[in-house]
Amino acid sequence: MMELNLTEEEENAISEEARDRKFRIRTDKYIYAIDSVEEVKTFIDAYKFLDILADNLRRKEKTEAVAAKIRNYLQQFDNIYKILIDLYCEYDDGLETGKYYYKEKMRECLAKEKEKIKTLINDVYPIGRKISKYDPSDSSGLY
Amino acid sequence: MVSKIWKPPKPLDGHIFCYGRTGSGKTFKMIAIVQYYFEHGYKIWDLYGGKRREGSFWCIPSDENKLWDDFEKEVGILKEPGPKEYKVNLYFPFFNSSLPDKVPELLPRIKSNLFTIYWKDLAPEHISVLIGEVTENQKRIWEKMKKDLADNSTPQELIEWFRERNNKKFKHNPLYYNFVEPLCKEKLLQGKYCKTNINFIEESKEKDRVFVLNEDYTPIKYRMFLMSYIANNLYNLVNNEKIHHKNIMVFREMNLFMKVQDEASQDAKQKQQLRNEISDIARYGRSGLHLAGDTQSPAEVKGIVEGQQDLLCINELPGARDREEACERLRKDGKISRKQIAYIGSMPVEQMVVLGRYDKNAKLLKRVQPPRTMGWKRNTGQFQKVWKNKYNSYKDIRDIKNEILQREKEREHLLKEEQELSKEKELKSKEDFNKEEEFDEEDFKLGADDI
Repeated sequence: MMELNLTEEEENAISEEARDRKFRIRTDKYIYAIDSVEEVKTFIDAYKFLDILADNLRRKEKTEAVAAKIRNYLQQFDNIYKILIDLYCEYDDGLETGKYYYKEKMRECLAKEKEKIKTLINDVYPIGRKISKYDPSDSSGLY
Repeated sequence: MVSKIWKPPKPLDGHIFCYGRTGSGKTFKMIAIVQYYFEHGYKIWDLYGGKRREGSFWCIPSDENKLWDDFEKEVGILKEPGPKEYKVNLYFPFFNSSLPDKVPELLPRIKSNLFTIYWKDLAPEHISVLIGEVTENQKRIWEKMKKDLADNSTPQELIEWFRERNNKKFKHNPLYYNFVEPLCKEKLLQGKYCKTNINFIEESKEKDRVFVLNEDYTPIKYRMFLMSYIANNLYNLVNNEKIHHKNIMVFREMNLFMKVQDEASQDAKQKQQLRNEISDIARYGRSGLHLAGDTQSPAEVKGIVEGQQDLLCINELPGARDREEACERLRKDGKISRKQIAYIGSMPVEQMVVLGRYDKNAKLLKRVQPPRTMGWKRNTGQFQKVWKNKYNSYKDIRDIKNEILQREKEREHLLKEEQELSKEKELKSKEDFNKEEEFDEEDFKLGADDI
């Protein structure tokens, strides 16, 4: 499986873009997904985040290379993404009676592609948020 | 929701006040905010460490490792370590009877200084904090002293002045027995050229060093006097453009001397004087001299500091009355809601509500940065104990003490010599005068015989 090996410069460039465009990843669900539905949603969010990010980075000359790198990396997740997003939409939009069925399907998929799903989520987590360099000399807290 | 980093307002235009019940972390958080201003070029004058005399803890970096770890998990990687070693100038007032032979010092970071006060620098407003309101008669006595005695008079000379024939009657005045005599006996009051006299102008230039008034060896009854003296001096220096305009005076537990309701206490008059002075500074010394203080209950300082704050910090206030006192005006101005006020009643210790002067609404800080220095804790105890365990480094001050006492003896010796010389001259001129008289009589006799 291909890894998304980014240099620090590339990470900073991505974080800057994500901050400017206000792209966000909900970090609490990254680590503590309570069930399979949540985990699938997280995977979908992570994929979309990278997809949109690559699109935006592509438009700037200095980040074109990074965009290409991300695009290339994402390709390996295309198939799983299509399957899971379909399942999730059915689950989300469907009747209550059908939810269990789609949840089961998602769980099966997760079990089958566990490694890939975790890889994407773990790779996006550090770049989806600001690489914080909190300066204790120049700040006094969070609100 | 993504958290945002909070920075206190800059530049500071007014003062910083923190309210909160005991244990709400108000002092910790206030110090963290003051440390922000230090990093932005403000000179910190820590004048009152509260009952626990916590001022000197500026010398010791924070040991709250878990707290900093938790904080880092929330804010992300820290650019530099949280706990910090500050450069500190510890100032010990010269009280001869209580000073030990050595005081904490760790050069070059932590410098210890004994300090005395040039007695002619003292004005009635300083004296009043010690003896209560200074009467017109007392002011006249003080002016007379300043006129009669030389600039470099020693403490003993001040006492001797009251033993002179014309001044003996003043010995029964509180000015003498509550002020001059005790402070001269302690050698705190000195002449103009005493090397240990405190120099605020030079100290103010050292913005990279925190000034801490260490009261570990100061008798309790003189603490307010010293606070008043330093605060007043800074106020005058700032107003007269003698020092820069970025100064913050820190007072912990302001209610101990600012409490409006405490009229029955023995030192009520002195507290009243100090309260008036601090209030004046709060009202008129804003541009250049700022206060940072914390207190348990806003009601205790009501009317004195209200409306003067640039930054209001509210920690947990379980009492409905306290919350009303702190928040009612803000609520009427639409800056805080009833629900938010109710939340303050049981707010977690790591949170704090802040309102800057120009903020439209109060902000809830989800996580306040811990202070970068240590504070008092039950299991570690007072500063001296912590210092001994951590650094155990001291400065021997016997030479300085002896030098001051020696200087006094030398001056006494010099004065005696001058007196004797003066007596001799007087005697000689009398003799000369008598000889001249004898000579005239002879002349007269001769003249008479001749005729």
